[in-house]
Amino acid sequence: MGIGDKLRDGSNLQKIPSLGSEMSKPVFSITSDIFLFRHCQRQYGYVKVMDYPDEAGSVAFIGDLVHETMEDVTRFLVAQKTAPTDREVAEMLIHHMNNLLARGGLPRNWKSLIDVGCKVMTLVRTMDVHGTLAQIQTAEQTLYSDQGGHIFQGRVDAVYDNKFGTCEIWDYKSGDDPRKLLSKLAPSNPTYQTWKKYLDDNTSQLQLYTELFELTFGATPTAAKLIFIQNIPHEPPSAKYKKVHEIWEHYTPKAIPKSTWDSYHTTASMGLNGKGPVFSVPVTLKQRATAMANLVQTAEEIVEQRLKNEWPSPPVHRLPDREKTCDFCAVRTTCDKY
Amino acid sequence: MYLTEGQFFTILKNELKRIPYGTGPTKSSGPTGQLLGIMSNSQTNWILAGPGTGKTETLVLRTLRLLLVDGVRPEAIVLTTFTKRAARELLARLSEYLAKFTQTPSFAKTNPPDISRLWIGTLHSLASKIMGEFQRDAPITISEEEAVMVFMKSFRPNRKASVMRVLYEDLTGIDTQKMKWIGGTKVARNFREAVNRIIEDGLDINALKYNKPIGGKSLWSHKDCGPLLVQIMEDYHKALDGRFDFTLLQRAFLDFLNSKESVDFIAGISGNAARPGIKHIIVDEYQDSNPIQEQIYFTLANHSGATLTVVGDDDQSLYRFRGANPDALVQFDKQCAIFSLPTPTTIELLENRRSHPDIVESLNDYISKCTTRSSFGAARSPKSPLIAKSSVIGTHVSISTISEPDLDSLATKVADIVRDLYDTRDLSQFGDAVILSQSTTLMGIRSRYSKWEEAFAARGIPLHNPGAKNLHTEAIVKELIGCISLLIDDIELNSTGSLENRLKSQRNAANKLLKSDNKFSKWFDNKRKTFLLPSNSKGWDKNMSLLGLGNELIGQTVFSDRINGNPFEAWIIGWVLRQFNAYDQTFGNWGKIPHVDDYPDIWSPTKWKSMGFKGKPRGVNPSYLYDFYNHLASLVYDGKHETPRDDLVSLPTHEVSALTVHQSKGLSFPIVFVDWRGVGEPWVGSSHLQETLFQPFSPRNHGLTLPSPVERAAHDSIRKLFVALSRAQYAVVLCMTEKDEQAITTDSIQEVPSAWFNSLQEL
Repeated sequence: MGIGDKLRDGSNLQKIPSLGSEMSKPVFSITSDIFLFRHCQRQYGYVKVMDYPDEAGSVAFIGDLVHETMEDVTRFLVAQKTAPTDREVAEMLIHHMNNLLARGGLPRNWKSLIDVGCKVMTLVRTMDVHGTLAQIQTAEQTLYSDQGGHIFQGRVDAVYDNKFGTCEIWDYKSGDDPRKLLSKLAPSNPTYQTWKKYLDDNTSQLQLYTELFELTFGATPTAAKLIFIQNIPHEPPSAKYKKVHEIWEHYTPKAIPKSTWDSYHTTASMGLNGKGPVFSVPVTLKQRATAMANLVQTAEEIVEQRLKNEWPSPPVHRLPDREKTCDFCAVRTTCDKY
Repeated sequence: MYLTEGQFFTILKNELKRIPYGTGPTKSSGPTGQLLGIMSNSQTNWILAGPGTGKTETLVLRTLRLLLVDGVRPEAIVLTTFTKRAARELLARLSEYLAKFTQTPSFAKTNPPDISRLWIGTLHSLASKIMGEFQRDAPITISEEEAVMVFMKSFRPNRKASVMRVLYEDLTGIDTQKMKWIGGTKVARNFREAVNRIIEDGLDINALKYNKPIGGKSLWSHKDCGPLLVQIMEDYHKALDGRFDFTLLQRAFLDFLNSKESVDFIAGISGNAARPGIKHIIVDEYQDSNPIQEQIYFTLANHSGATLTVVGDDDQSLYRFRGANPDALVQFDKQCAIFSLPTPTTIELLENRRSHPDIVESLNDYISKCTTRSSFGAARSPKSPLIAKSSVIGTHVSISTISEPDLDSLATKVADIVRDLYDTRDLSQFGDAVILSQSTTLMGIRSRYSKWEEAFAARGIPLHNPGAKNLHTEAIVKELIGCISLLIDDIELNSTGSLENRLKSQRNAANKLLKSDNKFSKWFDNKRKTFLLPSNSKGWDKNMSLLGLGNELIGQTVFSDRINGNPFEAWIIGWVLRQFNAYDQTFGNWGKIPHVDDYPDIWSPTKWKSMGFKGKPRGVNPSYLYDFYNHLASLVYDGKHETPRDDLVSLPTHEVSALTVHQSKGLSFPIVFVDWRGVGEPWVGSSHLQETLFQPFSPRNHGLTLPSPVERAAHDSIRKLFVALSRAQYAVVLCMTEKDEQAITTDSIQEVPSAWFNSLQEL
C-alpha cells in the first residue's frame, strides 16, 4: 500500500492528466520579443522578462515621437478626410514630445530632436502635396499569424495603397540610413559589419511583415519599404526661436519637389547603393520562407530560455553591437561582456 | 458577411472539433449554455459562467460570430477583460480560431476581418488607447510605482493629527494606540486605497467633504473624518500635476464618454468604414468590476445603443481589495433597468468540462450548504448546479481532506503523497500537483512556507513559490540600500530626529560587505568622495540619478556575481530598481540627485548649523535624503515582492508550484492541495470596512440592507475556497491541522459548513 493509493484510479481507466492542456499559445512580438532576443538574450531576459527599468528613458524617444506623430497624421486623415496643416502636425509633435517627457523620457540630443520634427513636417507636407498621403490606407497595422505552436504579432507603420489595386508596406526609421556608411567602408571594417547587421535585421523584419501580411489578409504587398526620416531633405528652421515647441510651431516645411520625390521611388534610388530616404527590401518567396523558418526557431529558443529562467550574456560570436545595443542597455553594468 | 450561420457551425464542428453545448436563441426556456451565449441577439446578455464551463471559448466564438456571420466591423466591438494575461489569451484564441476559419474552402480568401482593430484589452489599456485616438489632449498616465511615490510626497500625516488617527482607524480597523505617528509607507498605501475608492465607487465628493450623507447615516467616528479624507485626496491629485493614475484614468474615460469628443468613437462617422461607432460591448470577469467601471460600460451602451454582454461568476469574485464589487454582476438586471436598457437575457453556462464528476458534485453541495452566502444578499441565489461533463473519470478519491496534528506533519504527509505518486509514475511530472494557499499573507510567511519547503526538499521534490517575499529580509536588498545610504548620506541624517536610525541594519550590512571585499571597498571610498565635492566641481556627476547609482553599484562584482547567478536575486533587484526609477521621477531634480549647493536660499550655512550638521553645507540636499529615508527606504522595507509569473511559459512543469488562490485564477491543475488555515473570525480588511463607511455617500443601493464588514469578509472566504477547489481536474485535497478540523466540525468556521465537510473522505 502506498500513501497515495486513494488518489490512484482503481479501474485503470484514468491516468492523472498533465498540466497545461488548457493553456493558450504564446504570443510573440516580432520586435520586442524576436529581435530583442536576437540582439541579446541577456538584455531580453532582464528588460523584457524581469522588467528592469531603462536608465535614461531616452533610447526610443525620437523613434517613438516619429511613429506616434505619423500615426496621428494618418488618423487625422482617416477621420477628417483631409491632411493636417503644418500647425496641426507641429501640435501633434509637441503633444507627443510632452507625453514622452512626462513619462520620464529624455532625448539624447535636443538638436536631433528639433531636426527630426522638422523632417517629419517636411515629409507630411511632401506626401500631402504629391497625393501620397491620401493613399496611406492605415497606420500601425497589426498583423497576426498562428504558426502552429506560436502566434506572431507584428506591426507595420503604414499600408500604402498604390493605384493598381495592390499595396506596399512601409516602416519609418528614425535612425541613420545604414547605406550611407556601408558605401564608404570596406567590408572588413568592424563598423561596416555593425551597420550591415542593422540593415539585415531591418530587411528580415520587413520580409516577415510581408509574409504575415499575406497570412493575415490573403494579399501580398508588392513592395516593402524602409523610410529613413533622417534622410529627408529639409530647410533648417529659423534661428529666431530657441524653444523646441516654438521652433516647430513656426516652422514652414517646404515640400520636396515632385520630380525629386518620384526619384526616391526608382529602382536605383531604393537599392543598396541608393541615396534617397527610401530603401526597398527584397521580398522574394524564398527570402520570406527563410525569414519565417528563422522566426519559428527564435521563438523556440525563447521558450527554452524562459523555461530555464537563466540569462547569461551571449557567446562572443553573437555579441550585439556595443554602440547600438550595449551602451544603452539597462543591465550593462552587470554584464560580464560589457 | 463571410459565412452563413450554418457554415460557421459546420467549420466549428469539422475543423475546430468544437460543438458548443446548450440551445440557441430560438428556445424561450430550458437550459441555455454556450450556444445561446454565442448566438443571442438580445441587447443585454447576462452570461453566468461557473468554473470550467467554457467561458473564454464562448466569448471568442461570440466575437467570431459577430465578425464572420453578422459582418460586424472589428472597430465596432469592445471586448474587455480583467488582466493583461486574460486579454492576451483572448486574442491568441481569436487568432487561432480565425486562422482555422479562413483556411476552409467556404471562406472568402481575401480581406478577412482584421482582429487587431477590435477594441480588446483591459479597461485601463482601452481607455488610454481610445482617448489617445479620439481626444485632442489625451491624459498622460503614470505607472503605479510612480503614483505611489507621488501620493507619499503629497501625504501630510501631521495634518489634523488627532482626526488623522481616528480616520485611519475607521478606514483600516487598525488600533493606532501603539503607533507613535500616522505615517510611513503602509499607512500611505492604506490612505491611497481609500482615496482611490472615493473615485472608483463614484462617491458624492461634496457629500463626503461636508459630511452630509446622501443616503443613511454617516458612520465616521469623527465628523471631520470625511472632510480630511477629501483633503488628502485633493493634495494627491494636485501633486499628480495633471497626470493620471489608473483610477483617475477611469474617471477621465467616463468624462470622455459623456463629452462631445467621444461622438466619433461612440456613434461613428457616417460613410467612414473605419469609424463605424460601437455596436457590441462584451465584458469578461464582470464580477471583478468596480462601480466606476460599471458606470463606464452602461454609459457606453446607453450612448451607443450597442448590445451589452457581461460574463462572470459572483462566486469567483476575488478582487474586493482592489475595489472590485460583485454587486455589479449580481445586480446587473437592476442596473439595466436604471439605465433604461431592456431586461437582460440570462444565459447560464453550467457544463463543467474541467473537473472529475465527484468534484463537481461536491462544489454544488458546497455552494448549497453555505447558507450564509445567500443571506448576505450579495450572491445569486438559488444558483443552478454545475453539470459534470469532464472527460476526467476514475474511481479514485477525487475530493478529500487531510488533517494532521501540526503543520510539519501536514506538509510531510502531502510531500509523501506527491513523492509516492511520482515514483510510481502515476504523476508524470511534479508540475501536475499544486499547493494553493488562501492569501499572500499566508504564503508570504517564511515560517509557514518553510515547512512546506523543508518537507518537499527532504523528499527531493522541487517547489516553486512565486508568492510574496519580505524584501527587507533579503541580504542583497539590505546591502544595496545600505550602500546607497552610506554613499549619499555623509551627514548621517538617518540618525537624526524622527528618522531614528532609519536603515541602521542596512548600513551595518553594507559596512560588513565593504569589509569583506577590498576591491569593492576601494571603489566605494572613491565613489563616496565624489558625493562630497562642490556641485561646480568636475567630479560631481550632475547626471547621476538614484537608478544610475543603483546600476553602478550592482555592476560591482560583489553584487553582479550574485545577480547573474541567482534568478531570484535578479528579480528582486529589478523590483528595487523600478522603485529607484519612480523615486527619481518624483523626488529627484529633473530625475537627478540634487546637490545642496543648488539650493543656497534654503541651505545657508546658518540653517545648516541650526540643523545640527557639522562643517559647511556639502553633498546631497538633506531634503532629498529625508524623503529617501522616509519614503523610498520605507517602501522597500514594507515591500512584499511577488515574483512575476512568466506568462509566456506559464508554470514550470518540473516543480510543484505553491500559489495563492489569486495567482491560480483562470488556471486549472490535475491535482490541487489546498493549504487551508482556519482564521477563526473572518478576516475583516480595509476594503470591507470602507465599503460600509462609504455607503452613505454613494448614489447606489439606497434603502437596501447591506452586509456588514464581517459578513462581506466571510463571503470572500467562501469565494476563495470555491475558486481553490474548482481549479482541480483529477483530485483536490483540503489540507489542515487537527485544530482547524475541530473548529469546522463545531461549525465555528463560516466558510466551511460541517454538513459539507463531513461528506469528504479522509485521505
